[in-house]
Amino acid sequence: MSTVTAHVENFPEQPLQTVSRIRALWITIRRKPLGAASAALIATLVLTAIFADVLAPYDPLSAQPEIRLARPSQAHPFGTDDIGRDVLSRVIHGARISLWVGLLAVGIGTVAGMIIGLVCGYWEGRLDLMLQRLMDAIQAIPGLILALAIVSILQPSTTNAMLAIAVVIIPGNSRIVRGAVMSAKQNRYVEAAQAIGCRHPRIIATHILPNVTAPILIIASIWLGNAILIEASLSFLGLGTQPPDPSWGLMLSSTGRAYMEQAPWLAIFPGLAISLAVLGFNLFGDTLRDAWDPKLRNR
Amino acid sequence: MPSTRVDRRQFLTHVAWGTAGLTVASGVRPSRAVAATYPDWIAASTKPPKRGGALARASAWDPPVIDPRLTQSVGLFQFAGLVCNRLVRHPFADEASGPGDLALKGDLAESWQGSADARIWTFKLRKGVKWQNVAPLNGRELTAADIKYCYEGYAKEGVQTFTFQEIEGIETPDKHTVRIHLKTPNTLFPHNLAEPVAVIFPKEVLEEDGDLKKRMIGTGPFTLKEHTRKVRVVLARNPDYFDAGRPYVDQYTILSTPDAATRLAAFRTGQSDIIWLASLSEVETLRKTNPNAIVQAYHNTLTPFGVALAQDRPPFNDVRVRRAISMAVDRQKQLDTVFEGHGILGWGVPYIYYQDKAPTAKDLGPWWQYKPAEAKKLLAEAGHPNGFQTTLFYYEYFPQMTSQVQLVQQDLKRNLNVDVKITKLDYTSYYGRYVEGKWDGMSWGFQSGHAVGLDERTYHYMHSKSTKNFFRVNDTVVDELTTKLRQTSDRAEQRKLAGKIVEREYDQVLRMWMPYSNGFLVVQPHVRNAAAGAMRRTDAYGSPTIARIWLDK
Repeated sequence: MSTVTAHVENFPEQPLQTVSRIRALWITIRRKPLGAASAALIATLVLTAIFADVLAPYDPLSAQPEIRLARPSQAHPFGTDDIGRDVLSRVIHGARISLWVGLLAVGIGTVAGMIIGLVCGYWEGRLDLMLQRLMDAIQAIPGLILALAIVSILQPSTTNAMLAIAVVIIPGNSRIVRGAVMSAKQNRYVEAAQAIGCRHPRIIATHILPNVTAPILIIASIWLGNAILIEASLSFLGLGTQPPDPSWGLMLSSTGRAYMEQAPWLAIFPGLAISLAVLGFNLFGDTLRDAWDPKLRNR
Repeated sequence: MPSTRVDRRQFLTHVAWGTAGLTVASGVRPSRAVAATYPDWIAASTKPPKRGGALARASAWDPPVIDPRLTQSVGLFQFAGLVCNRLVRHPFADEASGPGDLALKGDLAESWQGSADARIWTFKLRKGVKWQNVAPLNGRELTAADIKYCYEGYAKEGVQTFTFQEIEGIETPDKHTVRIHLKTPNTLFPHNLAEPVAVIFPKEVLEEDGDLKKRMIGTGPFTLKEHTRKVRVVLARNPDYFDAGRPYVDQYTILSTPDAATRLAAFRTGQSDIIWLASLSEVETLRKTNPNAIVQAYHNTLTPFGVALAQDRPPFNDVRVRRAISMAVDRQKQLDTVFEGHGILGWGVPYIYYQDKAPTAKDLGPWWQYKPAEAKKLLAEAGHPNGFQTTLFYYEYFPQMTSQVQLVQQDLKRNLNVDVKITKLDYTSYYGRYVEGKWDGMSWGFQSGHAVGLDERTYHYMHSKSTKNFFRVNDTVVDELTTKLRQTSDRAEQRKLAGKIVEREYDQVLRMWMPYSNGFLVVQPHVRNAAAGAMRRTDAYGSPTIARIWLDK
């Protein structure tokens, strides 16, 4: 058995390399094609949602029952639905609802979770105990069941579905932020800031928050995919977006399921859109993690 | 050994390729509704029936409760009529001359007679009828006292109080005679007792349990062997059934299957013997895998669904608004497209009670024609030249209903600038809100689907004082006519009065009926005597006919 010893003092000092987060992300995207693909996919979805009015060949609500359940053709590349609406146009407009629900729900959930996590992690004590037990209670209920219960109480609508999803997201985010804050506040520079009399809000804003944004953004990107799925599930159960608005989940549940055998395109295209969006956000979340986690950056 | 573990990244990559492959493989099949004709009646088999075998059906419904006093749900009455009997009944598939044969037949009663003023009805019971051989009944004989106890129980509490509260008193002069005194004359009273929901339950169970929620014991052809909520209902042949030799099958299983695709799969694989399909294209799709399935093209005599308006408050208390709304909806288009031409335009009283042929669009009168310009003018006259905003809540009983709701919404927006905000609810929320009758705006409403009789379809569903008046009809002319109808014994006069009620309903747009699918009854090739009668679907409220089904294999 041999012993290897290292003499730390003999290592030559190297200049500290700092890479901005955007640059790190850019480097990762360039190095990993899947990351680039996911970024391109998200960009496409976002642009589709923004320019839905221009891109959609038909009014997504305009029914032409005479051509109901028409198979995909040149005029209607994704076919038509049960009352003759153009499925492509509905999928394009559905991106707007699904992404809007995803972004807003995750935004609300992330901000609320971050505030709770910051308060709990920074001050700890009784407030932490109370808030975290509340988070425990919320987390004890499966996410979809909780969302279903909230929407059932508030009445089915897109806005209420969004709020329900946000509530589901809050506990997990608050936990992650709380842990990161507790770790960050052990740093000497935080102690130094406290010692020179910096106020708490300033310490939180300038010294702690920057340390917790990376994990929260990564989690948020993954939650975006989940939020779209939950909205789809709520709409699937009749508790999310209401007819005739085109949400991917609603399209899948109402006509997609009912006419699966006669008109499979009614299930395939919205289902595909959900899959692609979820896949895109999940892969992008992975890419963010690779870019911003120093341990994974060079793998 | 190489690792078979798939990490998240690999999984996502596989999913990406999988979805791409699925898109290519989907190949987009054509939608093709092949023109085909199916008979509207399947005559009874002429072969001698065979005993034995098991019948099964994947069902969309589940009983909310098995106490017949507390619900009229098809979930319960898809089998309650097989466990229990009624005093009188309508003909079964092997006795009826056709779907419209509604001649009353004795069930527990052998004969019945009304007094001249139609206030006293005397029923002579069949002798030797035994309750099922299950504790606490243990096969004892059914007597007149049982009928009296049961009807008094219905009058006391539950959803059937309105029907049975018209009974002033019941006499039982002997063990096999029941004499019912009514508060007011009703020539149609025996028909109310033939409704599938008027089943006879035993007093012992109610007295022991305090309710009928746990056990169902009757005098019917099957005993309830198992009821596992939202799983299955299993019925076993009652060897002591009074109609000797029947039922033919040993067991009937109802599998709770809320998903339509699963019901279809169950039929395809032979796990279900009976299925109801809404459209011709669904039938054609099924027949690709089951070409020998027997199909009956059903013809409805009425529609159970329509747009219910809160007509006791503005703006729908104004008949001009109701007429305008009705004229702005293109019903024919719904019928031709959503129901692929196999349906009816919509009327609420079975036409067989007032005319020989199904009503045409013209028969429905001026307010039921699609005239968007006139509708707009009428709405402006009613003080809404720029339309208004309203709400509509519904429960999706079948997928085509969602199509209809959206087409109505679009018609009203385009033709009248009436903005309808749709809310789709779950069954429990919908049913509770609708039946409570305090909602605003509109609802995609229903009248209970069980009723066969004329009295139930008119007086019970339209009289302003009735608890079953879900469409909130409040019209003195209708009140008068429906009351007069039940006091009239002459058939020709009854038809005339029924016609007048319908005319008044159309003129005032009291219930805004919408097109409804006729549907198709599909059975496995070995199933005999399963035809559905008018307002008596074999898989639903007409289930008692299952006692006459036999399996030819």
